[in-house]
Amino acid sequence: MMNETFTDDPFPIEDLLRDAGNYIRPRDELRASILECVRDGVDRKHRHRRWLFSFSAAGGVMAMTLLVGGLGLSLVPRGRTADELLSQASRRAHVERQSNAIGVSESGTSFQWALSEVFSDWRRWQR
Amino acid sequence: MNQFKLPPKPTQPGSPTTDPPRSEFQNAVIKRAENLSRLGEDAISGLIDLTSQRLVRFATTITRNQHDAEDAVQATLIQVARQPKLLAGCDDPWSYLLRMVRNESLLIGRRKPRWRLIDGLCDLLTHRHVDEIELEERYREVWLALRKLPMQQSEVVVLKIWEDMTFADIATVLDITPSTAASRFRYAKQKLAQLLASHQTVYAGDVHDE
Repeated sequence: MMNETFTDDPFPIEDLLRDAGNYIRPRDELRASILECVRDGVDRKHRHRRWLFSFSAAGGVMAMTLLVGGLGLSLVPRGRTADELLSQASRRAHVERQSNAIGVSESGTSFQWALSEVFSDWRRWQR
Repeated sequence: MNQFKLPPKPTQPGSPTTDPPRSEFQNAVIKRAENLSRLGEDAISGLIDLTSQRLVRFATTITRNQHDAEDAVQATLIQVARQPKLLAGCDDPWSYLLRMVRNESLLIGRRKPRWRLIDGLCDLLTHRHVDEIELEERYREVWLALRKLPMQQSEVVVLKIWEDMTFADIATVLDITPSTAASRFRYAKQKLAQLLASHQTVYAGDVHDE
């Protein structure tokens, strides 16, 4: 009887197949595990974003510090260095020594006095 | 996934192609896909509730194992959740989902040695109403017969009978011509008729009933 039903008429096979379609169902854990994986992914994404934000914020603060520091250093007038003062003093003493044939300036200025004058000029300029 | 053909690319909105009439289910999938695109990952539960049973049923015919089928469905839906705009941009999100699940199932199937395939129905989690107990034997025969078909034929049967798709739609999902889909369906029906008529299917293992 079954033979006749299945082989002669094709439609009962389709009906039979259609009825058997809902015979299986997914496990209940499938939904939960998909949702858990999705939430894990979302958490991981948020963590990654937070880390990226913190990293970029720290980098930004560091860059700003360097920038402001650099600007400050370039804007604030710097004092003269010891080398500059020494070279100026020696220049002055030398020039004045050259002006005198016997090696001593007319006003009696030596290197020490020249240095003292350079310092005095510098202090005056600072005020 | 790259080993297989990628799903059809989403078409641009307002393309001149005429859309075929969609079933109620396909419209529901489109709605869920839009929700997913609008609300993000949190809206995936709606899509799971709507499609998981059908996707698992389809994947089971490819993997021949419900556990593997669920793995394939899980991987697919997680991927969809991570890229919420993936489905919303598709012309037919349901076909796209089926194709993704098929690719995942084939990947899982390739990783698994053939001797590990279960010859029976013991992997299936079945569902039946109280008044359908007498039909269970028949359902088991159908499922056993389906598993005896070549995968290329059984997937056409599933898409044609259970998903109520046209041969053109099936051809799109399986990346074959509509005439190939039709001939596979015809051969499958002939084989199923023989298998079910012989009525000598052997049940192996127990079915986990609810």
